[in-house]
This record gives sequence, structure tokens and C-alpha cells, in this order.
Amino acid sequence: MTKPMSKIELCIYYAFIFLILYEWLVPIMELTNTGYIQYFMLFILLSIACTLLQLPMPIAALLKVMYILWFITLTHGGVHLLHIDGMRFLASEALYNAKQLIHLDVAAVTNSVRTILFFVLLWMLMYLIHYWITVRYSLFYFVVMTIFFLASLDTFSDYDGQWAIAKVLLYGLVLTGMLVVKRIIATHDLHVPASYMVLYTIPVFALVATAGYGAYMMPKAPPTWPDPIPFVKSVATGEKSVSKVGYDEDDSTLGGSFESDDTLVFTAQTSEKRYWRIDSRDTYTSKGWTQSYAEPTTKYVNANAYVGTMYNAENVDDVTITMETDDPYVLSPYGTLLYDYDEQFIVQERIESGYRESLYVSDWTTSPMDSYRLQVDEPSYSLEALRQTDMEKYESLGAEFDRYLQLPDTLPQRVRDLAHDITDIVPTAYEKARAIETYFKLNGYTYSTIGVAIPTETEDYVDQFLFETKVGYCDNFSTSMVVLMRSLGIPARWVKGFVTGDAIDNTTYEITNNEAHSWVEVYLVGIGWVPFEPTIGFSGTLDVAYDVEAQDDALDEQLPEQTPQSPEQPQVPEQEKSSATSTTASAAAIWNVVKWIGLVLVAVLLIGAAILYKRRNRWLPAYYVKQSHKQPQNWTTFEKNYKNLLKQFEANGYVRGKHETLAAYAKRIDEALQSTEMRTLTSAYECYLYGNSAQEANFAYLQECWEYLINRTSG
Amino acid sequence: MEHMNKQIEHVLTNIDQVMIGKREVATLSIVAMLAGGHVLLEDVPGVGKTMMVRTLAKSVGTDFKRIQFTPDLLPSDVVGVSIYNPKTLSFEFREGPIVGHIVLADEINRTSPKTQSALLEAMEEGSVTVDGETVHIPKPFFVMATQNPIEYEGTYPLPEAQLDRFLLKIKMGYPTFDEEVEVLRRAEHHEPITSLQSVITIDELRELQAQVKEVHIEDSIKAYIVDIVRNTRLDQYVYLGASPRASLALMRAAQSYAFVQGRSFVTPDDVQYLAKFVLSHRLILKQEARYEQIEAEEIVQRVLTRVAVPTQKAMHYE
Repeated sequence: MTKPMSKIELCIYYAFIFLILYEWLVPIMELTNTGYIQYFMLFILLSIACTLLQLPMPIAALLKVMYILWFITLTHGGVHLLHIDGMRFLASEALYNAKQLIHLDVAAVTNSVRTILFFVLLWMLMYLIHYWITVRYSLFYFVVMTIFFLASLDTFSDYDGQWAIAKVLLYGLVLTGMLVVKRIIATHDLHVPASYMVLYTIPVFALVATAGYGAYMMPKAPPTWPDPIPFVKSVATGEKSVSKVGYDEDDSTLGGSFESDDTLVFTAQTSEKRYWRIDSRDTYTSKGWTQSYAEPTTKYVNANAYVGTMYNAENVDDVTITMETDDPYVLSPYGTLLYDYDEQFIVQERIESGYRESLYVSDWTTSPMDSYRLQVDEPSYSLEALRQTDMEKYESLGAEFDRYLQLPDTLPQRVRDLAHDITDIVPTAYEKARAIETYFKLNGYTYSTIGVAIPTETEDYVDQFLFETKVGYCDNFSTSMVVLMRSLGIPARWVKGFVTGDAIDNTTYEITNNEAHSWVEVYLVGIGWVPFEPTIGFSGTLDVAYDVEAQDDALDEQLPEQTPQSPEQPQVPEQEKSSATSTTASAAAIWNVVKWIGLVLVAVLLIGAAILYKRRNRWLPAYYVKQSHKQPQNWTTFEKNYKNLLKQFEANGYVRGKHETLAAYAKRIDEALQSTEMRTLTSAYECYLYGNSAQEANFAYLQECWEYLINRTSG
Repeated sequence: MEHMNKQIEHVLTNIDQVMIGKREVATLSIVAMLAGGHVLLEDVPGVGKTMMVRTLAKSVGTDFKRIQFTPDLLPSDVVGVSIYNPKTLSFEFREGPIVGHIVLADEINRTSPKTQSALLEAMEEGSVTVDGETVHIPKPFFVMATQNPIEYEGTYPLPEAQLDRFLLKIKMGYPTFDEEVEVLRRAEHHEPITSLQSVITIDELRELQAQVKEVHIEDSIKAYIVDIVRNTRLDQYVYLGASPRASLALMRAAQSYAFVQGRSFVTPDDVQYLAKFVLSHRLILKQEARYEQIEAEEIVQRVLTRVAVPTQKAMHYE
């Protein structure tokens, strides 16, 4: 269709093709454990050279065959082709494989056959590419397919195609850009000097380079979607994929965004704001939390039996809980003295974690209590006592604390280093805990429930949050604090439950799933387990008695703000959502992805349909003609065909006014198309339409006229 | 493609020998004649109105009767008069010039309304009644009336109700330059009409008239005609629209025209073509139309653009 390209031009194109093909071959070689990539690349070079030198077909083919045979003898036989052994090897291979193929035993053929097939594939590919470059002037589909191929391998295999994709994209953009210019020149039959050609390609290069550099320099969001493979597997094996945000038992994988859920969980009658503790975890897995034991030890907590120590009788508060959901857990706010509940139930406690749940007495199954009462005397901690938690005291801790000091072996050293960096300036465990608690607030961490990363196979949940993303919700903050505390040798555990909730009036709080929360308990020697609240935007309930003189310590100055007496929680934004969720969030994120993919698919289908509809003039005639061939020829089908023809003309811009007679319209069409067929058809149609009785007509001729016209409408 | 009815073709070719560039007028005249209607030719004197009638009459093989209307013409001068015959001692009816197959009523608007009325009655009834005696006018009966445009002095404009009696109103129009030269050339040595032969007989004409009634008219086309006629009543410039008689006339004319075209059925094109000839003289326009110089023909054309052509086999009126 056009003059042949110049050699230099082809050379440039093939240089890019060579680079793209290299990216093709690398993963294939890597994943199939094939070596000798350089020989395959050499083969591609050979093909390109044959094309560029315009070698006659037989010679080029001979060269390539020779090369393939040489490669096979060298790699599979270990000898050179021209050697007598090489010939012998080849002959035996050929004989053996021919025999297997004749017996249709495909599995038994040797690797040399597969190698040959692969070479043939490359050979064909080179022909295709040559065709795309020199005739179609378009490599777009090739590039897109390459990227798709690499992306699939990257996703579904161990191969890391991150850079390959970027490179192919850049090569592809440059190539496509150059070929577009080429195509424009070819279609308009322009004569452009070679120097201009170079000039035209400079902007393409510049643009692609700028875009590539820009893309490279841009900050990149962390992956917010988990690897799709585990998800697909979990769906395939029927595991839980999507559940609601809220209090959840399973915390083995944390991370991922979640959506808010304002389902009411329970209502509390209480005179103070409280943290509603439910459960704790002791084992950090670098992805989430589990327990160090298989089965918990349990004991019963009888109604009206004291489970705590009363410090101050005046401080005792009567709390009433009304559950709105069917959850069996029993809330344990700090300082719980006793439970008062219906005698049909019994409360059971897991000693290791402090988790309490209600059992139905008659059948000993877990069953929710609609309502129960508690007496709570929230402890007040003496600041002086808190300050006496020197680190030496932790050296002699018993083995029962080991599970609260556990850390995974894979925990990066920089986490441990950070723990020391933050806390080395203060001596006591309490102050160290405070320092970590406030660290997040002062160092650019942000609270968010969306766009929260999920650690990949090789990443650590805490490490990722502390050093890379710095965006997260309560799970991120609390887990990080526990890990940092443990890094210092201070026992700490991860606690889950609900925060205070929405105040309905002075003594009534409504707690929804949005109030699900996680925080930290640190073991302070001489005092016990003390709760801390590292999450930005939340204030803890730690009641500290200021029994020492005011200090100039910056950390202590913040304490008054964090006392529960502060009437409001000013930092808490309206949409503050916290959660003790786990995989639920990531499942929701994946559901989001699936939803999006579905939407995109629907959109693509719709656009496709719209394009088909928009371009129906092009393909409808062929369809009509095909249909008409299946039908008998009579007046009914003729009428249908004629009407379709009218529609086609209408779509082509020949609009018939309502008042225009068919004959006049036909005349107009015939004048425009320089034909007579429309008048022939129309007078036949009029005969049918306005005539008195069924008349005979030469349907074969009419069909001919009709096909002629309707085919013209598609052009 | 369509081929004209052979006999009509002959007649038209015959007329062409005398009348130059007047094929449309000739065709329409034949259409009216075959439909059993009458034609009103409106134009200035000297454009060949009379010659057209004469040629037509001669082609059909009959003579034509001519009534020259003047202000003092009496009804009896048209329809005939009973006179006393002393021999038989009784009144005998002497038929007037109206009793004939083809009648040329020349300058019909120059006579008194009384005489006009006598003519129009005869046209409508197909018979004349004088002194209680009814005389049937033999069929085919075809009146071709001519009138000068009414702006001329000394005319009695025909009442609209009477114009209704004419199936078609045709305007003759001036010939083109070349045509006029051709007229002179042909008339150079002798009147061309003198050598004209008749091509069909009166009986054949009657036969053709019978065939016209057989032309099929699909219900959808009937609905189309009614649609058009009813729409004339809605136009803003029309004081009085066309009557059901106009619908009937349009249908008859369409049948006849289709027959002339050699077709056995009526198409919307026939109706559209004839509408202005059938309808325009049946509309009474408002004064505004006159101020804005809008002609009845224009209004008919406008009505046609408003009415949808039936293109469905199934009938969907409205």
C-alpha cells in the first residue's frame, strides 16, 4: 500500500521490538526453568537481521533452521552440529520423536521437540511483528498483550514484573507514537524528508520520557488490596470472605479498609465514660493476633460475687447493660466489682484473656443475656506509684509473662530500634508507655479507615505502619504500641472491646459497631495491667491521681487532658470509626474490587453495545441480507425487507418527511445514488400497499434490487 | 415503470398535434371527463382555452357545443325553451346548447347569476327541466367552462357553492417562448385542428368511464384523502374549508388519474398531485389571506405537508 520503509527506520523499530521481546522471554525462561536466554535472543536478532537485509525467503529459512538445529544439538546433545556426533544425535532424536509422534504419545517426546516448537513460535511472532510494522503501522495490540501477559505472570506467579511492565509500557508508547506519525504520513501520501521524520519523533520521545520520569518520581500509594490469589482461593474453598465491621473474634490478619456500620450493639446506663473491655490477645504473628494457647481455662463468675477489689465505696457506679444484638460476650469495664444477672444464665470467664461470656444454664450453651447490671469502681492510679516502675523491676518477672513479651522472629530490627529511640530519654516503664502513646500524635501519623494497607507475604504489619504507610486505625496504633513495648521488655497485651459510645443523656450511652475498638494494656510492676490509648483521636480512661508535685515534664503536662473527667472528646471527629475487625476489612476491600471489576465489565459491555448500535449501519445490511436468504420470498417478507431498507436510508441521512410519498422519496434516493432500483422496489411495494389484491411480482428480481441497495447503505 | 393507458395516450398524442405544451391541461381535462366531472379553466383570453375543448371534442369523435356567456344571456338560452307548435297544437321542447356530450361554456363569469345557476344545475343533475318536462342530457356529459380572472371588469364572480360543481379548476398559463414560436409555425399555413382525426368513439369513452370506477382505492388512501380535506378546514387562513363533496371529488379524480396513468390502484402521489386542482377552488379564504397575498393553491400545498402519507398496510387513521 505504500513505499517500503527505509532500513534505518526499520532498524529503530526493531530495536524496540527486540527490547520488548526480551521482556517476554525473561519470565518464560525464569518460570519454565529454561536456560540459554541469550541463544533465543540471538535467534530473534537473526530473524531481524534476515528481515533487514531482505534475504531471500529460502536462504533466511535455511539460516534459521540451521540455527535451531545447532542450538538443539548444543544444548540437548552437548556437541556442535557440524561434528559427526552432532549429526548422529540429531538423527537419533528425530527418529525417536517421530516414532513417539506416530504413536500419538505426545508426553514421551523429548525436550528438543518442545524447543523446536518454541522456536517456530518465535519465528511466527517475528513474521507477525514485521507485518504489523510494515503494513499496519500499528503495534498497539502487541504492546497491550505484552503488558497483559506480564501483568498476569506478575500476579499469578513468583515472577516480579514491576519493572518489565514499566519498560514495556515506555517502549510501547514510543513505538506507537512513531508509528502513528508514520501512519498519518502514509495515509495522506505525504513526502516527508528523513530529517523531518526525526524531528517529529523528538516530541514523542520527550513526552514519553517526561511521563515516565514523572511516574517514577510520583509518590505511590501502598497497595490497599490484598494479593488476589489468597482471596480467590478462600472463595473457592468456601471460607468466610465478607463479614461485617464490628467486634470480631478472629484477628489473625489485620489491615485493609472497612466501611462504617452503625448497627446498635448495646446501651449502657453509666455515670462515667468507660472503655468496654471484652477480650485480649497475647501472640503477635506479624500479620495479626492469635492466642498462645489452644484451649482457654475457664471459670464461672456467679451473680453478685465479687470479682474485683473495691477501693472507694463512694466511687462505685451501678451500670446497666442492655444488649441489642445476639452476641454472648459480657462486658468488663475497668474496675468491675460484680455482675448481677438473671439466674437462668451463668457468666463464664476465660482466665488467660479475661474474656467473659454468658451461658444458658439449662443446656450450657453460650447464649446472650438481654440485660444485666454491674458494679464498677474504676481504679485510680497513683502517679507516684506509676513513676516507680523502673526497668530493673522487669528483670525478675516470672515465666507467666513470657507470652506477653512474645515477638515474631521476623520482626524487623528497625522496629526495635525505634522503640528505644522513642523511650530512651525516660527511665520508667510508665513513662516509656506514655512516650510511645504520644509518639504517634507528634510524628505525622494519621487516622483513617480507608486506604489502609494490608501487609504482603513478606511484610510485617507493624513495620509497614510505623515506617511506610503511617496511615491506619486503632488496630494499627494499638498493635504497634504493644510491639514497641514488648521490644523494650515490658509485658503488654492487645485488648479489644468498645469505646464509650454516643451519649444520649448524662447517663445513657449507645454503643454501635462503629465503636468497636482496640487498645493496649501494659503490665506495670507493682500496679498491674494498666490500659493505654495510643490511637490518634481517642482519649483513654486512665484515672491518674496527681499525688506528686507538678512537674515540668512535657509528658506529664498532657495528662490532665487525658483524664476521663474531661467532659468531651474534642479530638474525636464525627466520622471517627474504629474497629476490632480483622479479615473482614480486607474481604470488604476485595468485594469492592470485585464490584469495580463487575462495574467496569458492565460499562465495557454497555460501551460495546453502544458502539455496535452507533455503527449499526455498517453491519445491519449484511445481517438483513443473511436473514432474507433464510426466508421465503413473498409479499410479507418483501414488506419487511423494504421497511428495513427505509430504516437504513433514514440512518444514512435520507430522511423521509411524513408527508413525502414513497414514490417521491424513491425518486430522490435514486437521484442521489444514481440508481433506478429504489423506484422499482417502491412501485412494487406501492402495488402491494395500495393495490386491491395480491398480485404476482418478480420477487427474485426485487430481491436483487433490494440487496444491491441495502449493501450500498453499509458503505 | 408505469405506462399510460393506451387509449388515453392516443388521445393525448392527438391533442398534442394541436395544442403545444399543454399536455398537463389536456391530461387533467381527460381525467375530469373520465371521472364524469367538469372542468373550470381559468385564465386570460387567448391562451387556447377554446382550442383545447375543440381539440378534445374532435379527438373523442363528437362535436362540441359552445355557449358564449354574455350579460344578457337568459337561462332558456342555455337549457332550451318550450315553444308552441301550431301544427301539433302542443308545446314542443327545443333543447338548448347544454344538451350535448362536450360543452364549452365560455366566459361563464360574464353572465348573470341566474343564467350561471341554470348551467350549474344542469351540470350537477345531468338533466334539464323546463315547464315540468325533464330532459336527460346524454352521457358522457362534459362541461368545460372558462372564466377570466375575476379582477376583470364586467364580471359576476361565481358563488363558491357553485364552484363546487366543478371537479377541477385548471389554469392554462402562457406558453413558453419556444412553444409560442411553435404555435405560430404550425398555424402558418392552415389551422392544425382541421386535419385532426378522432381516435376514440363516444362508446369507447363510456367504456373507459366505467373502467375508472373499477380502479381500486385502498382504505388507507381514503383515510388520507379525508385527512387532507379535513385539514383544509383547520387552516388559519381558511374561512370555510372543503366539504365532504370535495373528498368525494378528490377520490373520483384520483381514481381517474390512476387509470390514466395505467394503474389499477390509487397511490398517495395521485392524491397529492390532484389536491390543488380539486380543492383550491373550494376553499373560502379569510380576508387576512388576501392581505398577505396567500393563494388557495398555497394553502392546499401547505395542508399536504401537514398530513402523513399512509405507508402501512394496516390501517391507522388519525
